[in-house]
Amino acid sequence: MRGIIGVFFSLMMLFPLWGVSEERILSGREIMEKVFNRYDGDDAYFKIEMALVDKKGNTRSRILEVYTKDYGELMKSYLEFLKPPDIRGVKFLSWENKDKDDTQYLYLPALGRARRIVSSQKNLRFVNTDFTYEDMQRRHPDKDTHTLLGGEIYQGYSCFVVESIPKKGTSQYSKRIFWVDKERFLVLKTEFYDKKGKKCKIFRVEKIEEISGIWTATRTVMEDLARHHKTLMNVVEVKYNQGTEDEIFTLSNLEKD
Amino acid sequence: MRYLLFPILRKISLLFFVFLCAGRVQAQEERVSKIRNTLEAIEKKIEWEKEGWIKIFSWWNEKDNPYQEPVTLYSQLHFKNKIHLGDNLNLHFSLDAIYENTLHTEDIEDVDILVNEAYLCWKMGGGRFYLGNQYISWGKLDNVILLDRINPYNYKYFILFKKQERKLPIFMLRYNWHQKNYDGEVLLIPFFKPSYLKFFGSDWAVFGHLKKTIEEGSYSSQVKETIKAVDVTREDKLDKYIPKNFQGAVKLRSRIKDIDFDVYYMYIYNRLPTLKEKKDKSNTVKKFLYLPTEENLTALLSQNLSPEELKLIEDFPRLHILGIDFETVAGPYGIRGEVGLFLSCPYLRRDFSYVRKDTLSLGVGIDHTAENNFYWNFQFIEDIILNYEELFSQEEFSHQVTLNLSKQFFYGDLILDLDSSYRISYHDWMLNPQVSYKLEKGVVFSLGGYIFEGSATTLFGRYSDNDLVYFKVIYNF
Repeated sequence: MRGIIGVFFSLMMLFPLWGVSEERILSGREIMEKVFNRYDGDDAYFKIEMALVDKKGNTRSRILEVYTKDYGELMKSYLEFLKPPDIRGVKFLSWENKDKDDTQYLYLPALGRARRIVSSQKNLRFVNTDFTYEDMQRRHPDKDTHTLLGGEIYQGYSCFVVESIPKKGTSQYSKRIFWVDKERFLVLKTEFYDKKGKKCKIFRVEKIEEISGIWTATRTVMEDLARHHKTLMNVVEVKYNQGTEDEIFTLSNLEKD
Repeated sequence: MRYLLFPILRKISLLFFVFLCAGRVQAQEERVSKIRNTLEAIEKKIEWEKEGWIKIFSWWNEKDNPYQEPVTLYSQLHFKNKIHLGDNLNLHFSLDAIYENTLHTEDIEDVDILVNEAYLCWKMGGGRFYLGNQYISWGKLDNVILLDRINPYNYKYFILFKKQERKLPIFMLRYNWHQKNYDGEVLLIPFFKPSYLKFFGSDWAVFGHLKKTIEEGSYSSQVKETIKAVDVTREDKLDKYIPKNFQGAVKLRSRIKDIDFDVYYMYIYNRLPTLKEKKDKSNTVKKFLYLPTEENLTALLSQNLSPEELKLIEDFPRLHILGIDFETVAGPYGIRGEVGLFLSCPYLRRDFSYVRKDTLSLGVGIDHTAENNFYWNFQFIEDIILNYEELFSQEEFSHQVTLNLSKQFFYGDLILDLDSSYRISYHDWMLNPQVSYKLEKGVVFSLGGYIFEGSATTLFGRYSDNDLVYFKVIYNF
């Protein structure tokens, strides 16, 4: 399946006008299914420079590594902070589960062991970034009702604009609006609306690159509109399909030095 | 307090002088550059990860007796290293430079440079071997962790340092492995290492300044001579590297549905000693030490014990420990628990004779983080002594609760914390409020305090004279 999707992407590169016809054919749900099923490697490694910027422009930098691996339809991911020294060694492990919340663990060096954390508390911020634990999880299209609002050019890319309204009790947001690149089925922008219907956050992709044949967002911004706070992420290293060992995604690996 | 500022600053300057003493060597330029070049050459050849922190921790308490230290300064430089020696082989080691000063009239200073962790890690197939001085963190609870029994602890300052900071590394061979449905870990510990505990001569010693109070008080020479001869010794065999001191433990971890659990077996020495009479079968020495009344002093003197009979022996019995822990989530709450059966735990009877009893300990904890970054963690611990008979300071059923509250502000830069523990059965308790602020460069300042309350024979009540405020600076590099 992954291989077929890979070929599919190659065809997209050869026929850039293909998206025009797709706009007429695809429904909002189909678009979001294509986004969810887009081939992004069987496993992946990212080294990311993260900057937290407050409303006064004060910036705090962090460097982290992320490993992901597909296990059938489900994915496991591992994240470790390398810098700065005060959060170095903080690690996060997440296992997707079918039809229920992810199983998540956090390792804090001061505690000396991994700790199970509550993934159902979706609205909590992940280590003081502008990402909540919900934002850290992949969201299956079945959890939302999708409506295609139309098309729009965003930063030079022709995009589908899709509104996704969560099914009851599955999200901290009342709705999300996605700008999806018609050629690559890559989300380039997301607007998040809180329970009162007010726009509360914007996620923007500022740069995409094709790495090992996979289109990758290498520079992104998540902006919290209420707090006037931003989390910038710059991917400085990407490796796909390196045959990442299963051991990376275990509790014992999380707890090792 | 103002008069204390100068000596504190003087000592801090001295501390940095100690830490930076390597800088003085710069005068011998040739030697330094040689060392530097060698290190750089080594560093180019091998992958060397370095990190560490500097901590300056000072606390003040009210002087309730003439021997109490009103101000203590504790500074530590921790330097942690990981060297990749090969594809599957790493060397881990950390060094500590510790400078302590009580700022007391006697101006006692203490500087130590210690090798902390030092072990080799060799990855082989689906497992890893570790050999050397290491830390182990077992169990799932917080603060009171029933099954975290492998490493000894440093109780020099009782509980002023957090649990992980108090831990002492221990030499062992460790092997852990990962299978699809379970993980395992086996430890072989060839040598005995007890927890560090002082019995006399400090604010945090088990018997505080009792000996000094008698020696320098208006007592007869017979009393002074007797108390001076009171001592605590350790059996020789424990300090020897002999097979008899061998210890071992195993842990298996798995998962059923949404519950993570571990099963443990440990055959180890109890890390905390119980005092055993050497020859004094009347136990008057122990009785006086634990309950230092005039009546007990008279009883002790009436025995006319020889210096040898005035000695007590630290006993560290071997324990068989069977345990199980679990962790899961239920809605927005984290839930965890531990159960441990400890065979042959040492206790003192009411007449201060020594006895061993099996003990069952249970603990359950629940925690929750609210939307506004308010975190709470509540634990309930129950100890049950099996085949109970009347004991000096332990009830058959002991209940304890702990509560931790924490609230973060400004994206985690400002943190208000409250740690507390209440031993319901003994009515003694501890409070540790703290406010911390993190600067942009990673320097964290903390201001806090400890309050201990309870009767003189209880865990926290014993230190009720030691209520204190503290200031702490930590810089990670």
